[in-house]
Amino acid sequence: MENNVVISSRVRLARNFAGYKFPAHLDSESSLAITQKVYSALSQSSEKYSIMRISDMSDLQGEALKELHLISDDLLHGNRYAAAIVNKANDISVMVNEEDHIRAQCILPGKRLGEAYRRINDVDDMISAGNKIAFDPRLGYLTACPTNVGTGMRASALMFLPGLSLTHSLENCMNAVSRFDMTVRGEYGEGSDSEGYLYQVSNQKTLGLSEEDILRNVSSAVDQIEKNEITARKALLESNGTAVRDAIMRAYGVMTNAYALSAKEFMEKFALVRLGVYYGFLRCENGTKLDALVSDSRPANLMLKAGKNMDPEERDICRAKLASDVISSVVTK
Amino acid sequence: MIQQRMCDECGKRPAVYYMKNVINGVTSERYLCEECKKKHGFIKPSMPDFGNLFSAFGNPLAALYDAPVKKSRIKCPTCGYGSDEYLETGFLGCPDCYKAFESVIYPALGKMQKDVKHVGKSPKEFYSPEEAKYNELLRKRDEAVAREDFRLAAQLTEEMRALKGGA
Repeated sequence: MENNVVISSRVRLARNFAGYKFPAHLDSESSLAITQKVYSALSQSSEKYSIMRISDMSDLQGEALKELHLISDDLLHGNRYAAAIVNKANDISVMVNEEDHIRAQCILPGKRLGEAYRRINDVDDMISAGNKIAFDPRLGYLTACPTNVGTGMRASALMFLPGLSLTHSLENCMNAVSRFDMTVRGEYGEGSDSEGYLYQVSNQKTLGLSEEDILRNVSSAVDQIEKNEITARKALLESNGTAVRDAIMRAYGVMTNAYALSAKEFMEKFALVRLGVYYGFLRCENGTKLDALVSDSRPANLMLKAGKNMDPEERDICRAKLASDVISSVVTK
Repeated sequence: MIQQRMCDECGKRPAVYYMKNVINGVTSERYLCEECKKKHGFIKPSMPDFGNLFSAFGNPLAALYDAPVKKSRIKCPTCGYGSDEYLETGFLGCPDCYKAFESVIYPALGKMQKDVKHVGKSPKEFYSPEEAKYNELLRKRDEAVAREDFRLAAQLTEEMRALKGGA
């Protein structure tokens, strides 16, 4: 799991076709034509893509895809003819008729922003070949909201920051980052109290910078935060060794033995187990399987896997069983 | 009689815990009472000043400028969307709105973006290779002029002229 600070890297590009209104104002015929254009462009690829139309999805399927970060809330509740075109590995997802005609993203585990950009750039070339893309030499790629105009690019890293959070240094760090046109937001929950200490760091500006500038800026911000997080983890252990180790081992006990776990408690204990692996108090044989627990234990994915609707109490029992099964099999003392 | 040191946290009860941290050469000391140590669980160690750590980034220049926003309603000739709707929602109706609402969008863009000039990728279908090369030379020349590197600027002008002549 390397040092388990950067969980995943994501790059997304926003694009629109020239001659069409933006999705919020698009009629059904044009919406369908756009979906068709994107799908047929991607069908030329050597990679296999499948298309999922929002109108064909159950509410549960839609929510589950959202929990996996393959689609957004805006895609689920916006244009009726919205769709998601996803590759087999689930690391490339092209949302069609979200806020823009095309929102193409590549999401990879670990610190791999450059690779994520190269892959999504290839997808972009494929879609724009033979299609007229809305572009202006002065303003770049034209998007529904001027906050995305220019490169249409958002590069982000999902970071696990328990050290900075527990040493109350996160706010300081966030303020420093925001001075460099970066946005930091909690992945689950709001602001500095993100559940599971998970935060997204991304570029704020998209115009007046090249794609390489954006990648470089986000990467240096991520590197700086990572360095500070490691310092904070060291400081935390030096000042509170016994309390930290005790909290980690208790969390491990709960995760492997609890009968019911709420989503909130799961995230809290999961973070401590992850931290325990970092400190070497716990051993993990399969980091990918462990990390997958975060989305697998969200409500819609739990229910989809169980094949039935469940009330919150049933879900908590189901979540505890999943956590116990996975953690007992990949994490040892 | 030696005076009992009070807790750094509450200042009410006598301190029974002493913590000393040395992080990055900075020593910090904390005296805490039993209650405050329990209440906090983890004690906050002193952390470095992030402002200094981030100075490695250099000083970013924000392209901020102010211009009066036109209050009168402009209508996009292509999609019929109004500038007032843009000001209300922050969203545009179609790609042509950028041109139609130029006087409204540009001042805002200057504030929200790094610059109002695109310097990144362009779609392959948009420029011929010669045009793309010409634009790159033009950009490099602008940068050279800004740096007052007039020798390079003159050289780039020559290259642009040759390209235009040959194209």
